Amino acid sequence: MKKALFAVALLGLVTTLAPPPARASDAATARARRWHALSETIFGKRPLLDGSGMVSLDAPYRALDAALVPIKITLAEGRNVKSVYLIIDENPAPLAARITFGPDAAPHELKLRVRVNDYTDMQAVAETADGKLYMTRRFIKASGGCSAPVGEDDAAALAGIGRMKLNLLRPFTVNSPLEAQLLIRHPNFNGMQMNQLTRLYTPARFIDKVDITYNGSLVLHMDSDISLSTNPAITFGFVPHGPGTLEVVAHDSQGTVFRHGFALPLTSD
Amino acid sequence: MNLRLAAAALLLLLAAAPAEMAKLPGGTVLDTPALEALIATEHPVLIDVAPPPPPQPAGLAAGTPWMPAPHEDIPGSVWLPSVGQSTPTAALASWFRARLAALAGSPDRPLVFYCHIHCKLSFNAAERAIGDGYSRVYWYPPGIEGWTEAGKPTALAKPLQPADNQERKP
Repeated sequence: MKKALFAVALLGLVTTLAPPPARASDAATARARRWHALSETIFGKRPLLDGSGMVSLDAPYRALDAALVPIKITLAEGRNVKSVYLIIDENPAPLAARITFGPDAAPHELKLRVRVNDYTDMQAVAETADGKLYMTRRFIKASGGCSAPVGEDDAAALAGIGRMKLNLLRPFTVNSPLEAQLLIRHPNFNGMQMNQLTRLYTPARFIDKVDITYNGSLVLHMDSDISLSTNPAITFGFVPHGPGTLEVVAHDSQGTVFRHGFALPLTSD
Repeated sequence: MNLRLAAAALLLLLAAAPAEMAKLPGGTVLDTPALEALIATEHPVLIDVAPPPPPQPAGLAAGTPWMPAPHEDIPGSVWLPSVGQSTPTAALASWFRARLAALAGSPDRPLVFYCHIHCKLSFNAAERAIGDGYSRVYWYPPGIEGWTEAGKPTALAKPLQPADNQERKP
């Protein structure tokens, strides 16, 4: 027994002193296999081209809060990108968002807040008007974002559902790109959060479509699902060709439609 | 006496390394090398208490792929989802107690609890085992992420849940 314990101690010591092993090729292989399955499901056999210089994806390497991970997608200017896909490999519904730009979009920068279930690869794929796909990838360390409770009881989380706020991040100037942040109050329940009192899963209810138009012309359309964080926020750009109304129509998985019009320039904030 | 000293030395060694100051009253916190050493010599029961496979939410759009990633854990582990919940039902608690008794065989068999990194479920489950009188309860806070990052192998896991699992009813 004493010998065995000594051996344990020795083994412990040896493994402690040994240099840290390189990243498991096991894990890398598993991630590559996962991406292969996902890309085939989402894009079929379409080739995914190297997105360097075309699309970049920023996210914290180690997220502070897995239920609220800020993501920034930057697109090269003047490359005629018609849509962007955000894919979070380890999430159960990995296609987190697909955004299609309208004629008045200035799709240089796009920001979202997402839930991340596990240490995961994340991909942004930009689709150009000629149908080519450009991909960039990032590895993120976060865990448990999908089952994290919304942080208040269900009734409180649902209060004021659909309320919207618009922040302009640059001064309003006619014919020049304007960056704006849209906030939608919505719990975006994903069906995996357990109510601690009833011990039942809170039924899924999430924003699945958002249309943003300016004076009737499309800025962007977003298809989204359970990967968006509670109280979804989207930062986007567009070019106002004069004062007017930015209209947002958001739709959720229970069929509720939320609308809000913002007269621009905003008179007060 | 010698044995006690050696055991104390071992505990010290096991407890010395973790960078995080995680504590488990009545039990022992492991880092990856310490867990490996324990597995190599003492054949502990490895209990993964990571949350169960997610239920598919109603209302996913037709084109949205639903593809939960297969859950992998430390080879040789038993996956008991849900037993680490902070407020288990009486039925779930007694199911866990029976399961633990069958897995351990005796109250001094080493039991290792883990789930995901930063996941409290494994702490809860370990605490419950200590309360039930198991004398050698270990907690591995780095979880499956820490294990994978250290380059250790994993195996596909299958959840073991009560036949009538009240947690899973919609």
